[in-house]
Amino acid sequence: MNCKPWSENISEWIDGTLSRDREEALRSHLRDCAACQSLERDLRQIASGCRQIKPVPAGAEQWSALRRRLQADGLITALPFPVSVNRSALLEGLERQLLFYRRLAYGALAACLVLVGVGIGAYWRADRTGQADAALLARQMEVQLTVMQLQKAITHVALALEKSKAEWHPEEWAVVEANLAALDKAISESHRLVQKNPADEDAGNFLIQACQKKLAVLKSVLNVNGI
Amino acid sequence: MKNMNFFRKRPKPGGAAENLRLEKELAARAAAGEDTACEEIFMRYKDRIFSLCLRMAGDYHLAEDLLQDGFMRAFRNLAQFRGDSALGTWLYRVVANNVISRLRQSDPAWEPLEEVEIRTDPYSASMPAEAAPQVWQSVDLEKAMAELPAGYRAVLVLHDVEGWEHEEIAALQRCSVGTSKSQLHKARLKMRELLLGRKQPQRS
Repeated sequence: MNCKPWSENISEWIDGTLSRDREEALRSHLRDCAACQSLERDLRQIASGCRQIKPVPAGAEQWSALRRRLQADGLITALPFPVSVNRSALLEGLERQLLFYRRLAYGALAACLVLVGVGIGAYWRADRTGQADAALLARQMEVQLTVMQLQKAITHVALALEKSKAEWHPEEWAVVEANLAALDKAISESHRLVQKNPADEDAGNFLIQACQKKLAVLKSVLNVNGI
Repeated sequence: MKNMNFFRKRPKPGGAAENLRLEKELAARAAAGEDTACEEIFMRYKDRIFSLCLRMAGDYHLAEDLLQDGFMRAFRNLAQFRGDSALGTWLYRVVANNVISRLRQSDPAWEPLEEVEIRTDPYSASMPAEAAPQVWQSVDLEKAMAELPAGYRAVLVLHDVEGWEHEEIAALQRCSVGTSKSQLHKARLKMRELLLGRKQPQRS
C-alpha cells in the first residue's frame, strides 16, 4: 500500500488543520493501514509531548549582565547604588537611611523645642526684668519726690528760723548749727549714695529719714524760739 | 450630559483589555528607561524566552547569548510596541527573529527549507497497529530535538513547544504556510526516527 500521500495529512489532522473531506478520507485509510495508525500515534505523542515540555529557567545572573549592557547603551538610567546589590540588602540600607533621617528629624525637632523654650524664658525674664525696672524707677521717683517736698519744707522753716537767729544765745545757736550740720552731712552722704546707686533702697530711705529729722529739728528749734 | 464618562464601561480588573493596558504602560515605562520596568519585563518572560532560545539553538551558552541579544533588541525597539498584541507575543517574535538571524549568520548553510534525508522509512520503523501507545519522556524528546537540523528544530519548537500558528511561523521564516506545515511534518518524522533509534520505546 502506498502510504506516502497520507503521511503529511496525518500531521495536519493532528493539528486540526485538515479539511473535513480529507479528514474523512484519511480516517478511512487509517482503518485499513496499521503502519499509518502507528505513525499517527507516534506523531501525536511527539506533538503532545512537546507541548508538555517545561520551560528551562534562565540563570539568575542574566539580569545583572543584561542590566549592565542596557546601562552601557543608555537604555536605562543608572541608579545610585551598585547593580550587584541584592534586594534585601538594599531594603536594609534604605531602612538604615530612614532610621538615620528619622533620628535627624527628631534631633532637629528637639533643638527647635529647646530654642523655643529658651526664647519663651528670655521673653518671660525680660518681662519680669522690665517689671522690676519699672518698680525700681517708681521707687526712685517716690524717694526724689519725698525728698523734694521735705527740702521745700526745710527751706521754708530754715528761712523762718534765720529771721529769729538774732534772738538766740550764741552758744545755744552754735549747738543748733552743730546739730543741723550733722544732719546736713547725713543728708549729703545718703544723697551721694542714692546718686551712685539709684537702686539702693536703704540709701533712699536713709535720705528721707535724714531730711525728716532735719525738718523735725528745725521745727522744734523754731517752736522753742517762738515760746 | 457632561458626566456620561461615569457610565462608560470600565475595563474589568484582570481582564484581557486591562492586562493589555497594563502591559502597554509597563512597556512605555521601560522604553523611557525606567530600570524597574525593564527588570519586571525581563523577570516575567526570561524563562520562556530562554527556553525558546535554548531549544532553537540547541546549545546552553549560545542560548544565553541569544537571550541577552534578544532582550537588547527588544528593549531598543520597545517604543514600537503598540499594545496590539500581548507583550509576551511581541517579545517572542522579536527574540525568535533574532535567533533565526543569528543562526543564519553562524551557519551559512543553515536553511529553514532544507531537505533532510529521513533515512528510515517512516513505515518500516512503525510499531504494529495493535501495540500499546509509546510513551516518550520529556528528556528523550528534548535530546532528539537537540539533534534535529536547525531549520526543522526551529519550526518544531515554534509550533509544537511554543504553540505558534503556521501563519506566524511562515511570516517569521519568510515562507508560505504550506512550506511551514511541510517542514513541521518532516521535523516530526525526523524526531520519530531519532526517538525510535535511540531506544526501544516503552509500552504502557
